[in-house]
Amino acid sequence: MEKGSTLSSTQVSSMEHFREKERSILTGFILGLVALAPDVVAVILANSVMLLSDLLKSASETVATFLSWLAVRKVRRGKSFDYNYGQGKLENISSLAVAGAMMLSWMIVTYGAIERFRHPKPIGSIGLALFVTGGSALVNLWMWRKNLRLSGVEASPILESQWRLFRSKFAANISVVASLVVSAGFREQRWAAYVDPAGAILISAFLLLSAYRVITDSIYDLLDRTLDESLQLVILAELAVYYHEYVALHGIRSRRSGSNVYIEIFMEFDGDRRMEEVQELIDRMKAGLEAKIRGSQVLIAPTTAPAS
Amino acid sequence: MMQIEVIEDESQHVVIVGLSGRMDSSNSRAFEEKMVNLIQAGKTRMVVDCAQLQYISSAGLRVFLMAAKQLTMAKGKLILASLNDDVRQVFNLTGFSSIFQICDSREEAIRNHGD
Repeated sequence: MEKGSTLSSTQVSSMEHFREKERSILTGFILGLVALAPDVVAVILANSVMLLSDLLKSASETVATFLSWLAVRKVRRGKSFDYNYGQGKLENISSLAVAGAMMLSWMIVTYGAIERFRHPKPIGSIGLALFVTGGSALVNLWMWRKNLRLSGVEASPILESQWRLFRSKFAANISVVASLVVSAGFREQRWAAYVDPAGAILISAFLLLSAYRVITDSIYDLLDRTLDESLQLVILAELAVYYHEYVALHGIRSRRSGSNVYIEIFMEFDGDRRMEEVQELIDRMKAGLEAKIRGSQVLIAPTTAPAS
Repeated sequence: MMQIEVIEDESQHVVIVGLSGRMDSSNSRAFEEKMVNLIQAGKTRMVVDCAQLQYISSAGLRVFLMAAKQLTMAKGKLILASLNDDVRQVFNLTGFSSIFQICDSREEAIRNHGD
């Protein structure tokens, strides 16, 4: 077999992890899609603005999850000469689509809740709604834990947005169940009619918070913001370890692209040192940093001038 | 907001750079330019007094590292003085305390330049 066609165990493990990530997102999409039909029936039977809001939210999130799956699939298949740095930014763009769906849902939920506050109505039959929402809560709890575990293995914007999404969905489910039980249990009380829109407002708060986090993280990464402070300190600590091995530091550049972290360090070495020695030193520094910063690709460029 | 004050101690031939406030990515460039100008002007015996420096980010640390290297090439020396607990913790965490000479006071740092 040709040397170039064999895969190392690291590459195989990485590909398996990528497939697991793709499968996890696809599972989320299918489950979301399956849950929509009984949700529609439950909304009609219960006449609840909160359930309607929850349905709209679920529908937009399911579309967003589908977009995430397409992005991950594209990234996995898209290793080509056309994209030398990979297609990690597709993950950020996809996360923005998720956030866009969250924002849209937030507007719908808020509008629906305000309308119901102005014109309160008692809710209808909640049996099916409780069954469907309870089932959704269990599924969302499972998906939240699964994506959280996967995001611990790889720093991925999509997995980050996914576990936050399922956490907010789980919290929304719990709010819906609690509100439905209270609304139905105290149906005769005048105040019970306001529980439904109040629950909807609570759901919208969760949505807004999650959308804000996803949007800020993704936009900063798309704009090639440098790595956060904790990772910058890791880079400097490594430079301190090798302080006596180089004569000048001309610059450090860093950015994120999807799950990947790119770090470029421009250094000047003693002109009397052999290239072999310098290369060996560079290799050690590179390996040290890549081991400390997950998903990083480090480039150390010997130079005598400041980086432009 | 960070302020930089430069004082020349002519009797000891030492330049003292006093920093106050917070040094982060928004203002570390000003500190870098000040240090580069001083080094290019031949001021290679330096004390950076951090008594009033409340916070330093990685951008600030990077300037210290670059300046230390430039001073070494110019056969000069950079000594730090009066780091508060928070700033000292950052220096310890990154291993910078092992590459810089750090004194408890400005006077001690000036004396060390004479040794």
